[in-house]
Amino acid sequence: MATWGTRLFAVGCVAVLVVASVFGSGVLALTAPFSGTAWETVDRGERTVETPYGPATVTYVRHGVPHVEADSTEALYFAIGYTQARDRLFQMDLFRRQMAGNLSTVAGEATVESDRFHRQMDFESAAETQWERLQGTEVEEPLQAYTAGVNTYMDRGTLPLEFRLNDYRPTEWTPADTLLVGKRATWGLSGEFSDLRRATVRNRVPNASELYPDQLDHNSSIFELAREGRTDSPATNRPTGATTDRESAADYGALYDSLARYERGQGIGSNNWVVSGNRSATGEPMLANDPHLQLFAPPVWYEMQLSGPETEIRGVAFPGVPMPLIGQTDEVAWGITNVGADVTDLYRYEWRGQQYYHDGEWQNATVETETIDVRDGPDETVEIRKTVHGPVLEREDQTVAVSWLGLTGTREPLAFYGFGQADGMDEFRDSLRNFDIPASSIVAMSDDGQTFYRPSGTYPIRRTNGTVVRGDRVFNGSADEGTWRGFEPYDTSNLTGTGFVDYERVPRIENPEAMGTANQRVADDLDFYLGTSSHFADSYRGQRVDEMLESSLEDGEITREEMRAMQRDTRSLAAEQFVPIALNATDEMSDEARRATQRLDSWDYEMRKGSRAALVYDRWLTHYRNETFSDEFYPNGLDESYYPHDWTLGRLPADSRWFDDRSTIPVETRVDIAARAMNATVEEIDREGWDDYGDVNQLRINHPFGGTDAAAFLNYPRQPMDGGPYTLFNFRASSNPQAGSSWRMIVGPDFGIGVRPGGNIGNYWSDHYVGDDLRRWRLGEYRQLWTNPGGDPDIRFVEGSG
Amino acid sequence: MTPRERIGWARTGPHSELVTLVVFLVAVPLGTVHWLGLAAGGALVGLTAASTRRALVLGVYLGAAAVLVFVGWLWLAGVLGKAIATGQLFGASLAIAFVFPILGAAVRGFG
Repeated sequence: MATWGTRLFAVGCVAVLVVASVFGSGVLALTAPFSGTAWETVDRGERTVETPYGPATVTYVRHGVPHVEADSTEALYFAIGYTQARDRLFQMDLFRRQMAGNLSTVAGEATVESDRFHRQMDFESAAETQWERLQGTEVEEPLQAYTAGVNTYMDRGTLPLEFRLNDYRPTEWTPADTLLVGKRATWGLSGEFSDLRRATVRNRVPNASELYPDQLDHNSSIFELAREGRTDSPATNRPTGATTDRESAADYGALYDSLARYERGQGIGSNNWVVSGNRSATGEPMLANDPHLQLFAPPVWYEMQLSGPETEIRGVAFPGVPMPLIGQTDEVAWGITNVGADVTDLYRYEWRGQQYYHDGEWQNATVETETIDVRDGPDETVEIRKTVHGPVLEREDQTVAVSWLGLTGTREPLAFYGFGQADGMDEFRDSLRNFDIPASSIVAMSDDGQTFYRPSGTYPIRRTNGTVVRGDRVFNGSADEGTWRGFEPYDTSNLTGTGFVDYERVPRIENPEAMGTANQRVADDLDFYLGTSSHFADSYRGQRVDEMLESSLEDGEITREEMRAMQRDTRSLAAEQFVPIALNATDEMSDEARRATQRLDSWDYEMRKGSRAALVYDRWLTHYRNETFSDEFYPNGLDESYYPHDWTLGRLPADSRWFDDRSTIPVETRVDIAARAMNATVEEIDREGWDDYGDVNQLRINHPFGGTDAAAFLNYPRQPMDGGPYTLFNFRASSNPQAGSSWRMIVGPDFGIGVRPGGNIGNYWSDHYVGDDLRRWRLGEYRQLWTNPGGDPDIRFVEGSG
Repeated sequence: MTPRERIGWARTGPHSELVTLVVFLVAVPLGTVHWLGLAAGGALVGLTAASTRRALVLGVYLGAAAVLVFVGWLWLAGVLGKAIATGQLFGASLAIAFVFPILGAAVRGFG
């Protein structure tokens, strides 16, 4: 017989079960062994998929790269959609949520401001406009097939772990979502508010304009450094001179501070170069590209091999976009870096309620109110206002409207589709006519030995009272300044009309012998406005590319090993510029600082993780920057994001006014500041216990949801890294998130090597979630690209209802 | 036999150990279907035990078996190391696998 005691015990146990099932049902559903949704994706689902678009196969070749093969374009794109969703669905959904302003629905209050910004910019409507623009073109049906493939996976496949951990499901994918992911990339490379930053600095810091020259003082523009080849640069649309303080100074600090986190990362850049067959050891052209983007887990690029009717493409695409953006076919290969062109203009107005004065009359702004659904918090409302120029952004009574080229129906999906279909260089070049945004320095080579460079993009021409002007200021929209003729935000614009630089007027280089680009100024004397020094990178990397090409050419012809050595190069030309400044200041330093500085005297400027000298230099430069500018900037409410280029800092004369510390009575010079910075450096290194550069140059590639202890396993392991912001082997440890070479590729007509900073598969349980690529990437190693599929397909797509 | 006699036969009859083994073999796969299956399996083995103490011991055995099978499944799938790396997630799964059969087995306490 059961005693009262055992009965009570039984009641207690059952009560525990009941309570757990009622109050812990979510955790149980997630974590239960075998049946918990967290373990669902251990088995990756169907191997045979029905499709209405025709048969196709997916074979995962080495390193988690899918080889997708089909006899029709639509069948191919359906399979791409299914496969991308299978491997990267969470990332795809996150990208579109971010751009549509729907993050808070799943992430809570932390992302409300991000959602507010993205809704006010209304990227979603811009993507829908672009989809309307693309209907009836050759990409319409492939995009629809891709969309159907994504949705088929969502219907039938297992959802990635991240959806389970955060307990939500993705909504149906649409073609506009693919274009929205494209907007994320184009905004991330070309969307910026430098006009606000520059106006604010000029307003708050006396004489600041000398720190922000129209052009940085160097002779290393892309065209200047190119070898051979024919250059066409006809004169037209030359704008009036640089904007003066009187024209542009105004305080937009509050507005800029609230928007800075959403603009393209300052200093983010990329490298590419091409060598003709005449100068390569193999007699065949070679091309290298490494775009420097934010580093995430999983990586921002998805690698694919596509085999369709009349096309063989190998390359990388953004998850959510079917067309490879960088890659190679049997006939052509291409690489892309960001031009950095100014395609964002800002307009202020006289306002009267919801009316703004423009074109000689008061006009009604379009006003809508939307609700942001916030997880575990009260809903938020956001007012979305638009003028004839574009969306209105407002903070603390500072109000501007934004014209960004990507808000209209741009055509770049046609260009990327065309790259993959090109039979040779002529067709590839024809495709560039559709390449609107982001303006990109595109280098290309073809199997018949041609090479090519063009700063491709659509460039607005600003006019004030009929006069062409520059875009380096906040325009007075009420005085009709800075008009882009024919630009219609959220509608179809006439991008080939008089409001934009004529395609034929943009210079190009045909068959360069050897040339590279690294986001430096495109040309010294363009005949149309492309941007100011704020838009282009310091020229250190560009000069280093040229230096290494030159060195190889002097020795004869360039080999594949030399191409690899260039991408692995960790020599910093910035260090070459700055180290003498520190060495000149040893007399003013403490004994310990002097000893630390002496290490720099014999240093080879290599930013290697095991280098003590690289550590000293890296920390000293940070202190030197702050010691120089903080006394002028911080008291005026301006942080490091307002500092000028390092190139400018490095060339300030020894007695420049910027070296004087305004908080002291004596007048400091460069020597004083360099010494002070080194004293602070040795104190910091001692305090922190750092031994070498690898202690501060730590790789931290994190998953977007890896910030909590429970999901930290999604992050990649921390590692010490070589490289820095100004080395070709590029790594930016201090960026948040970190940034660097997001894909390295070296190709010729008959070979290809490359590496990604992480695995190709976003499913945590996959062997290719981190994969061996991260190690290779970190160490500067490569693997063969473009593997022939062998064995049975992993997924078969068969005729059916889909 | 009445149901009560049948239960008594299963608990204390000459073949009670064989009955326990069969029920145990049924209970283990139950736990792979749903977390309630772990508790239900525990209840099954508990109800065939001769005493509450014996039921709890069998619950511990079943929990341990569930843990071993789960770990083995992950190992066969080649993801055991990754599962361990998830930390809290893996720990929660092991705890559920081990504890729920014991809680289920405790129903023997009702008689």
